[in-house]
Amino acid sequence: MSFNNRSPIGSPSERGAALRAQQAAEAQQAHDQRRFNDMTEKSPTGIPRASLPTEDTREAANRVHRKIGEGWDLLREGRQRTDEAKRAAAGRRASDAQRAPALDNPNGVR
Amino acid sequence: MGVQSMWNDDLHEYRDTVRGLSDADRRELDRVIAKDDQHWANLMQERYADTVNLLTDRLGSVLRVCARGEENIDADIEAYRNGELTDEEFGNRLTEYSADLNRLRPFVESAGESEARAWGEVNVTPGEFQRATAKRFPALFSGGRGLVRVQTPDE
Repeated sequence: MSFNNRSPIGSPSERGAALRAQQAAEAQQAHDQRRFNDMTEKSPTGIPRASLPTEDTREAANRVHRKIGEGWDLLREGRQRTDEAKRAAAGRRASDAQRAPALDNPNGVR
Repeated sequence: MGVQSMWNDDLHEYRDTVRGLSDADRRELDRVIAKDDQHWANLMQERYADTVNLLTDRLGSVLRVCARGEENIDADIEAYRNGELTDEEFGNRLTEYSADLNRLRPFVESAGESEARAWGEVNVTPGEFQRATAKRFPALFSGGRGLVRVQTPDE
C-alpha cells in the first residue's frame, strides 16, 4: 500500500467518523446517567438518596486493624527472642560458674 | 368568600374536593399549592444535604486519619525491626493505635444509621414534613404561622 493510497489526516471522512464516535459516546453516557437516575432512590419531592463512603471508610479502618495485628505478632516474636536470649545468657552464666567457681566468685561469697 | 389558614396536606385535600371554583380561582389555588410544596421541598433538600455533607466530611476525615495511621504503623514496624524501638515502646504505640481506632469505629458504624434517619425525615410529602416539623417546633406554627392563607368560597 503506497502512501498515495492513504487518506490524509483530518479528511472529511475521518472527521465524520470521529464526530459520530463522539456522539455515540455522549449518547451512551446520557443513557447511563438516565439509568442511574432511575435506579437512585428518590423522595416524593425528588431528593435523590445520597451514597456515603461508609464501606470505603470501614475497609480503611479494617486495614489499620490488620496492620496493628501485624505489629502485635511482630512484638510477640520479638519478646520471644528477647526471652530466649535472656534464658541463654542465664544458662551461660550458670555453666561459667560451674566451670570456674573461684574466678566467678573470687571472694568466696556464698 | 372567606380566608382560611391551611396546612399543606389540607390544602391538597381542599383542592381535590372543593367544588364551584372558577377556572381562575382554581389556577390561583394550584399556584399557591405549588409554591408551598416547593417551599417545603427546598427545606427538606437543605436539611438532608446538611446532614449528608456533615457525615461525608466526617467520613473523609476518618479516611485521612486511617491513611496516616497506616503510614505511622508501617514506620514504627520498620523502626522496631531495626532495633530503634524497644519492646515496651513498640507495645505502647500499638496500644495507642488500637485506642484511636476504637474511638473512630463507632462513628463509622453510626454514619449509616444517621443517614437513614435523615432520609426518613425527608422521604415524605411536603405536608407530612410540615406536620413533623410542627410537632418538633410547635412555636413556629402558633397563631397560624407557617400555614397558607387561602380564600375559600362561602359554604
